[in-house]
Amino acid sequence: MVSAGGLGYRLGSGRDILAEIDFTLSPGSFLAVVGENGAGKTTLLDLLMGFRRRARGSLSVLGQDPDTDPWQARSRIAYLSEKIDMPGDWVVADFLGFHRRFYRSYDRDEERTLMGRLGLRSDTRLGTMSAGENRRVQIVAGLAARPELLIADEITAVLDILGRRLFLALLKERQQTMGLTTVLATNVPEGLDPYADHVLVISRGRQVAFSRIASYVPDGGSLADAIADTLTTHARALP
Amino acid sequence: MLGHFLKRDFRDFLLWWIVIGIVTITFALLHLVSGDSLGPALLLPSGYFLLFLAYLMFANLPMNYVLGSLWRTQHGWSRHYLLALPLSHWRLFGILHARIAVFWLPLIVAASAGGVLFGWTLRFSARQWTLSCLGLFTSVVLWMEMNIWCALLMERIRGYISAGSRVRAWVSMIAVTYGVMGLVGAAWFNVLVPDRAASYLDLPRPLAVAYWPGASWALFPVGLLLAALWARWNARRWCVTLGSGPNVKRVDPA
Repeated sequence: MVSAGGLGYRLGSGRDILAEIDFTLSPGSFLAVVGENGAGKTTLLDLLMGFRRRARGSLSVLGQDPDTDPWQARSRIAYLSEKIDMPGDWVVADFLGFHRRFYRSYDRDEERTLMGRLGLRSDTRLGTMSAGENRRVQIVAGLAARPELLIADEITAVLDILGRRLFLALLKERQQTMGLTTVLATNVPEGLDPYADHVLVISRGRQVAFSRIASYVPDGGSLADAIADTLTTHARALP
Repeated sequence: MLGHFLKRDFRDFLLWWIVIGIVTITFALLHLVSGDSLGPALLLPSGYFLLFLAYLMFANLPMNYVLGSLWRTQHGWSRHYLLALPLSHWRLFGILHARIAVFWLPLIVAASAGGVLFGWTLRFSARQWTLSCLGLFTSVVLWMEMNIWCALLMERIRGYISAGSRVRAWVSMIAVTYGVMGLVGAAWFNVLVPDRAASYLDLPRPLAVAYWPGASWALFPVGLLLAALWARWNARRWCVTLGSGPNVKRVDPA
């Protein structure tokens, strides 16, 4: 479904932002990508979406190389990001109406159900909504397209606690019923334990852990604590 | 899919279309009532120049919106959204040009109709007719690519680049803008002003090409070639998949 081997990204100035990223995700997995601020999480997701061109290594998303502009594959991907903005003059219905035209598998019944569950009204102007509400609209648009892969870049940070739990529960439901694969980059790993099954920890552009959560988290411990331990250990190891 | 975008653009810019419609009607009424007295009153050869200016500003209006620019207002959309859509990025780049071209229609129509309405083109020779058509096409595409380039350069300027790079970017933007205006202006001068009249004008040396007989036959094709190369450059800057090789220097969408 998604695999990276020796993946690296380098700025034009020659500075390495990401290096030696190796992981493979099978369909139906839920990967949490975590790391300190500036670790390279967003860069990794940009590479997965083809927004940046890798400097080295291999990368495959839904069997395609993102650098080759695999536009057909993008109809099977939902991309949710804080960087996605829609015109503030539009109402929610305008945006969903515009968006659904691009996705053959878009399900309007699903859209209505999700609107209800996420507490959204179709006549609300996007410009008057909070950042969290805007993300909820994105979630509706993304999930109603019935994607096989969901790539979410730090979208949970602006959701309130109930919104965050609901979002993760929606992903879990789709993972179980439709085999949805999720790659979620986040700075807030707390509470992810019941949902994610894999974790990728990045520190200063280097992969310091990729593992199944069941084997990564010690008995009785939490995912957040295990990640904090990994990052602390890695920080100490640096000169 | 182009229609889907155009329909949306029309709704989003409806107010501006109404404004430009009002400007056009006002100009037409003034022209009917007082002839072309507006231009001379403002020391312009014709009031038509004011209308052209309004149309030119209108054509520049949607640039950041269409590109999904980094320095867009909250009324725009982000490039990340556009690039994540299941559309080929080349196709999307083509759609982007078509969407921008729609905003040039008032100017294109005015330029085409103006000559007939005011009798400028009635005295045109076949050579001038041919060059005018070529010139109009060249001017629009060259200006369009320049606008896209400027918008992308502004993204770079507002990004995390050094003060020196910012200054260089500003200087290049100003230089290129004047360069394009000079090229297009010289070519049009060469088409519209008879050789004899031109020879009496004491133009600065770099602009003297404007009265070389037949210079526009070379200037317009050069402009077209520049526009084509510029489109290629802009594509790589707009989206990394439209470039070649690793780490194409570009502004990352945000």
